[in-house]
Amino acid sequence: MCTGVEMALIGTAAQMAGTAYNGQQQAKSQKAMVSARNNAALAESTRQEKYQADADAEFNNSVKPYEGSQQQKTLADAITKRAGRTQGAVTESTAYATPTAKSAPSVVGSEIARKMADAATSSKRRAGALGRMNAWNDLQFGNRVNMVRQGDKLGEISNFAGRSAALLPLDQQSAANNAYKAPGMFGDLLTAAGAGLSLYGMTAAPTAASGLTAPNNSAWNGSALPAGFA
Amino acid sequence: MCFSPSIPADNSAEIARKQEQERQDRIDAGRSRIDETFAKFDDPYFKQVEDNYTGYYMPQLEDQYQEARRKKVLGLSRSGNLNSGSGARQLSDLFGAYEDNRSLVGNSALDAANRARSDVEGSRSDLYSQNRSAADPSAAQSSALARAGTLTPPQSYSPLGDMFSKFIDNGATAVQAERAGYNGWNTGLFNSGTGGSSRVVR
Repeated sequence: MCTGVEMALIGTAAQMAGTAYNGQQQAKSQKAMVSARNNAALAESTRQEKYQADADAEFNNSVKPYEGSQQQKTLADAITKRAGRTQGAVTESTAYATPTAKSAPSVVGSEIARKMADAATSSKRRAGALGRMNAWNDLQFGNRVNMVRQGDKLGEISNFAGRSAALLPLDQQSAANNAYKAPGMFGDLLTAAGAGLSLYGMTAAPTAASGLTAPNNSAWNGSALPAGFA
Repeated sequence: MCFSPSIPADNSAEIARKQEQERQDRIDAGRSRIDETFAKFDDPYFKQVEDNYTGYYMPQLEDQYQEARRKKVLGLSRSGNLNSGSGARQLSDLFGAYEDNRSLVGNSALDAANRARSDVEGSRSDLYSQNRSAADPSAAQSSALARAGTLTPPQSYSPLGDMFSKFIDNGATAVQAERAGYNGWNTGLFNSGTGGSSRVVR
């Protein structure tokens, strides 16, 4: 049979053990919540990396037309197309009959024909120059169209990435909520039992000499108190 | 603690993720639909714009040239210069102007096609934006307001102006002036300084 002091000590130890157990359970739960938050952040990071990879691919597509001699080739194509249109529109000088009087010497007719041919040649040269000049505009226009298209795609990826990132706090909160585990009853019961035992040991437990009664020399009956306190 | 009700699992993030994935899927589907719809705006389509442009302006230019040439020939014939070097030069100048204008029409036709392409690309871009807004109604209003400022009527095409009037109005006058001793076209065909008894005082 334990003495009251021993019971109080055991009770106190049980209380401490219960508190420690609860603390350990709380720490374990906290660790699980932090881990869940971290995992949610990692999952979002993985998603963002995919968006980043998609955006990089689109950006490369934006830059590609400017790499190496690609612009020169595009410009050459634009010149071919534009100058083809402008020069192609110029007719042959022989398309129109030379208007000469019947009495006119043949040299007059040939002179007019020569001047008409010269005019057509000059026009064709100017048409080619016009085409070459405006081909630069075509090149820039094509670049802008390409840029707008890639910008649209990048905007979409950016939209997806932004919305996904905005969900991260909710992800983390939800993961933490699901990872949380309330400490079991064991710690609380142990603490309560320890408190009860400790109280009993200090008040009603039998001493080694007198059995179930409280010790007469304890502080509770005032015998151990200095004179004047009893 | 024993009798506390069990806490249900927190599915809020899962629900939000699912909704976001559905939104992205809707946007992807919308983009595919837009691309499919706009596939018809290809190179042959814009070549048709060019052809329509030249089909509208070239006949007008041709008619004007024919009319100007007719008047020029008559004018030169009246002044007796049809079979002269000056007449040949005026006719070739008129022809040169006609050819230059033809190349300008060809050039403008390509510009018209580029404008059409620009409009189509602008519409496509707007639709992409609307597609995103449709999946995200909160963004719809700001997007619509931003685009409202860009609503301008498309450019209309006017008939060709008078391209050869200066050749008709000035041609015969210039030849007559040169014959009379003024600079005119300055062809040098009328050597008024040595042949005649009269001299123009300028």
